[in-house]
Amino acid sequence: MPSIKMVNVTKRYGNVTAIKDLSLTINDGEYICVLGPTGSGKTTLLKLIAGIVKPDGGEIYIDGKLVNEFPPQERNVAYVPQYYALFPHMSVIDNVAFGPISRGFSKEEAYKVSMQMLEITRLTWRANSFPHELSGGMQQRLALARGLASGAKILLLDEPLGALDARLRVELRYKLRNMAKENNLTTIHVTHDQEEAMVVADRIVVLRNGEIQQEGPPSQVYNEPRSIFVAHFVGGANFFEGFIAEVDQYGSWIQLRNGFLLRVNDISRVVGERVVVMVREEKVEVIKGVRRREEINLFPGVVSEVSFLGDFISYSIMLDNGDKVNSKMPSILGLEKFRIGERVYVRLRPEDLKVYQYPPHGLYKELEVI
Amino acid sequence: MKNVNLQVEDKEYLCIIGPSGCGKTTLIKCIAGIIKPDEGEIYIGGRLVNNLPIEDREIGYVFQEIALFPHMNVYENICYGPFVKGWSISKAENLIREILNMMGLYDRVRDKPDALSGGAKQKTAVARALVSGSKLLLLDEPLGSLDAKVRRILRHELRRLVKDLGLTAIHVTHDQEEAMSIADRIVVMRAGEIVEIGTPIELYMRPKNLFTANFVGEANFLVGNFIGEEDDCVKIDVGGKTLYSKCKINPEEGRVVVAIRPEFVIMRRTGPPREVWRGVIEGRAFLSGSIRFEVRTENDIMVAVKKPLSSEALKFEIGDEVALILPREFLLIYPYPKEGLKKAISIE
Repeated sequence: MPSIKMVNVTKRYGNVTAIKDLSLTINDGEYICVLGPTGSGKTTLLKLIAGIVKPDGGEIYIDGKLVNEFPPQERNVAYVPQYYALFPHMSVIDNVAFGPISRGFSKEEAYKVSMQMLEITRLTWRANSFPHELSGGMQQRLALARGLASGAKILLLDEPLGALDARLRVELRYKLRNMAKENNLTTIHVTHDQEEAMVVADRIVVLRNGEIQQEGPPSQVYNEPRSIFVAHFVGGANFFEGFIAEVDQYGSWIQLRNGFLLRVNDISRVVGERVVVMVREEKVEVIKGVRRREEINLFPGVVSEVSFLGDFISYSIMLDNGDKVNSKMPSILGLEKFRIGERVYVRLRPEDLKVYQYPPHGLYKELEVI
Repeated sequence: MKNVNLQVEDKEYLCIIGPSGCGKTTLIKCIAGIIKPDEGEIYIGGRLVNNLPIEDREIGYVFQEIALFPHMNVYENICYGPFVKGWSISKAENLIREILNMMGLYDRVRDKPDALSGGAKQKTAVARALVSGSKLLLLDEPLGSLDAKVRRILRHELRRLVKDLGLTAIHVTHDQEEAMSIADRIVVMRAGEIVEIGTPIELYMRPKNLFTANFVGEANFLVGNFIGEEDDCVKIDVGGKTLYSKCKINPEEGRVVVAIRPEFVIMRRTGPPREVWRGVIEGRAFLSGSIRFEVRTENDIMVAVKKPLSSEALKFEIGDEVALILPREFLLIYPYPKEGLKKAISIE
């Protein structure tokens, strides 16, 4: 059964190291998303597994077999590149059937399989068109159908939904996952879209500069990001800079800009340490009116922006100390609740706050990398 | 493009959305003067511009493909416009400085495009479009080539810039969430025609058209029959269960489509038998900040449900029996489309 193992794999292009000493195990039937910004090494990772590029160091195993020296066609993989080459002189169905036929399927069988793949990718109605008659999104789906029809049990997808309209992407991502699961495929899906990754993946691998930053189930990567980078890249996050003012048995006090004091549950820091505090946008509570009593983590500010996102509504609040906070709430609760310029309070619960070491090159640089 | 009528107000941020091939890029190119209309008139600032070449229309235009001069640094790229127009740079200098500041490009002026991230490159392209002093900014998928995360950050910067400089912006995008989060008004296009125009909230909460309902965000569509009125509500039969809606509808319609967004469906463990649909959870996926469930109901309909991420929502698992409530104030009713439901909402 198809599993993949990479052990200490390194890949260089000239003096650029695209993949650095990377180890990763992918289980049979698993749906993995590799998530990272442009230039993080996502595509190289796929190409290494596909056998299109060779590692400079380390081993790659497929089904327990060392495949470093295997050519792509002997690896049991279907690789669907981001920029695909379709046969321009062949119809859609013939493009798809080419793989099965060349593997010895009868024409009838090949067409039957190919029609199924066109069904999945919603191209049945264009079976007799030629590639140049299709939109970009349809061409991408055709490339996907062709990869699926190859019969390989490992599917390597490089931005498979990248050329599609946003709305269509949302619809097709569920179908993609279901299709992979129904056919017992092991899938590696590369994307820069964190929400896409969260929805389709059993496990997410976050890549940056050729190294794995974090791997785990979507909810874990989202709720327990191990670094500022992961928190920022995977979902909406607010960051505050500060210093540890006091540490006790149950938590710490952090001095934010201009004297605001923030309570967190973290007890692993030392007094005086420079830190960054992170809170997810949907964990930020916004309260109307005046302060009723002394309460921790309740900060005054002014609503500076409102942004409607459909199922959510997002309010930006400029706190009186100069820090900016975004709060995301379900539209059903937050629609037209606050006006721009309105004075409000922001409440943060200590258990929702994560503390990170201040990055060596500064917070701004750490966030800008993306 | 077919018989398009559109009025864009001064200082408005207008987004045009629609699926690939709907004509949105043609529309913006007509405004820019890159394409000439076969019929009809285009006015900018009250002036008929049909025969005015692009360089005389006083517009800033930004494309999806980032086109910067690779051998010039950020500052030189930005100054290129005024330079070509034969202005002295000193005339444009104040505006250039203001724009550089607002876009956070001040520290990058000596960098060549190669050294910039995708986001910084596109900001440079926007800055270049603005320094000529145009009051109308045309943006054709300006964020299309950027990573999802960068896109989410930059869209707000774009809107802020337009509002702070008092510009009018027309922004074409295929990303409906992008449009909703920054537009004053949105134009929805399909097959060369304008389907609907409205504010983001209008289009999302009360779309007049089935296509809009589907295009601006996910919705459940259920086919049913009008069976009467009761307590100021219309009664619809869907697969043997009765639904109530506050929508008004012509009683002669008979066959109708009921639409409801997944986040407005209430999902509980139990509920009053008259109002709920029983079902079993068949799918679950994490979105940022919410969980999306797929529930197969007792009348064999698949209903998508979204719940904000919480410890309560996390307790619902695949295989659980649940009760769904479809609240009457969120049920939208449409006459059943002549071309069929699938075709009416198709985004291809």
